[in-house]
Amino acid sequence: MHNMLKELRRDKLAVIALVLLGVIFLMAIVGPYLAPFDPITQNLHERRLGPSLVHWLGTDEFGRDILSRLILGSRNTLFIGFLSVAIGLSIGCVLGVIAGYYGGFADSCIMRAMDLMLAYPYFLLALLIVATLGPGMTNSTIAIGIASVPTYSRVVRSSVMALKGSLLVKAEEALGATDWRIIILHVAPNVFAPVIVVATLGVASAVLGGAALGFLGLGAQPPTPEWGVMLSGGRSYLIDAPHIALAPGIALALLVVSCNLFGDTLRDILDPKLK
Amino acid sequence: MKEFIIKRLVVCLALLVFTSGITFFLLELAPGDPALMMLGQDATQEGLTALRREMGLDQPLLSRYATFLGDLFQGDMGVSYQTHRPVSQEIAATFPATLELSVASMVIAIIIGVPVGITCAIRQYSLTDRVVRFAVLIAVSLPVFWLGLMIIYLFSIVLGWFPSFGRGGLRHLVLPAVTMSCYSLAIIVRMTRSSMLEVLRCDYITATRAKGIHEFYVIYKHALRNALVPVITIIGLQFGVLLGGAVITETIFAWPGLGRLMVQAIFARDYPIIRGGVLMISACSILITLFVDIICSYINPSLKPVEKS
Repeated sequence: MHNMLKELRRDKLAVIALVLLGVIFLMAIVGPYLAPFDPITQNLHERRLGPSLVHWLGTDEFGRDILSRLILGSRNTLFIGFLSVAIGLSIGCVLGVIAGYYGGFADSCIMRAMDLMLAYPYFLLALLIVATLGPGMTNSTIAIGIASVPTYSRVVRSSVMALKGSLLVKAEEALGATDWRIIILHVAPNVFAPVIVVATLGVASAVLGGAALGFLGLGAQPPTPEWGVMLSGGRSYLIDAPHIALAPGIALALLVVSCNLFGDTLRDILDPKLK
Repeated sequence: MKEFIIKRLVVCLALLVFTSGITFFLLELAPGDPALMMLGQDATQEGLTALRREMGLDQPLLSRYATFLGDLFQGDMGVSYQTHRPVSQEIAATFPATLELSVASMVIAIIIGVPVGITCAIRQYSLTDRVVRFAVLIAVSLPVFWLGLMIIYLFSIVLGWFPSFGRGGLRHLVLPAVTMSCYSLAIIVRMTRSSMLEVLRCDYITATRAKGIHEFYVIYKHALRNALVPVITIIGLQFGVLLGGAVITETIFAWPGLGRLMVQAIFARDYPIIRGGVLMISACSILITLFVDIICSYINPSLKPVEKS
């Protein structure tokens, strides 16, 4: 762990990414105390104002302060990103462990089901699930989470399979340890490294997926401040108020770049072969 | 080889049947009465009952799926709840636009991505390599819908070079195709670079160079052929991603494609259209994977199945 932090500190881009992620997290946590204006209340007298000292990033098509919506929107954007990864990861981990550890029929069934899910392009599967559940922030989060299950289950399965043949697991089996003891005490900690890398990169694609669904009107619904929804609102005012679409897009890109950079660095540290 | 292709075709067919099943059953779980959606809120009870019987909604789920599958193999995907036109006609009217956009994006991504990836591999750690790697990182992180809006703002509103919406001719295609190609372009650059780097470190490349063969032939004749297999695989996968993600680009540029039709269908709960669209795109994606497998086995004979003696 100490070595990991040392290596992480040596990579300047990773440090910048971590700082950015920290700022966005902080924004999400203390958002309500930080936002200068109410992000939902409309003020039709101040519609589409450019950046000024009062409204640092200007106002949107309903006169709402963009900075306040951006700050509060970080909560929803992160909520979709992290919760969908949590959903995908927990289902994927369980399936991956069962497939990798028990092998045989269970492995074949689970992996064929995952192959079937992979036959759908990722966003199309998310779209299909949203079509079934109906538009909304929670439903889009669930959809993105389920669509990412095959990725996580495959990573976990291959790591578990590699461990299954190790001396450590064989010794535990010889001592009469139960499967669950072996899985929890020995397999899980060793699977942690590849999982954390895929999960970090997964947050990036989940954030993008969630925002894309929000942009299409299938994710978070207006007036909820969410970066994808904010972009969608700014779409119709590109000619006279391009600033409405600018800020949420840059914020989204920064969040995703940070997650990708941090994930890449973690992968380099945990698996130097891929460097 | 023939046996390999037949086996892969059978697997593809099975995948198509299973994906049709998943799509069918998932959308059957969706709330709402299809008969009510077709007839509207002021429909009479008798009318609803008659239409339900006509649509086979009074049949058990499995029997409905069997009928759906039978119809599907005959090219019948049902009737749209909104327009009352056959889904196959709706798809036939919009899918060419999606295909045109996806192919154009893929062509841009390949034409730029592969040479740039090769250049980065040849000049590893040079300034060009570093700049391209950073640009790739940004490109994979940019939300495509934001990029699209910014491209519209710059090239359509400010400079006025290209139209910002609709389909019709090459000028209309440029902006959506460039927007859509950005992500795939970055992935292709990344894959070409890493694949070329791996091949360039092989002993046979050193041997070829030792023979005094011109560097151009070393790179493009000897190294590229072996480096191409993972690149072609990723191109195939990216094509599926492009088709699946076309929804977003089509919505931004008001491109009359299948993706846009599907989004409108989701809002209108027009399930036959959604089902048909999802099946069409996933079928294309599955067939592209098959096609890529066959091409790869031609390029790299070691991937061909071993002939039984």
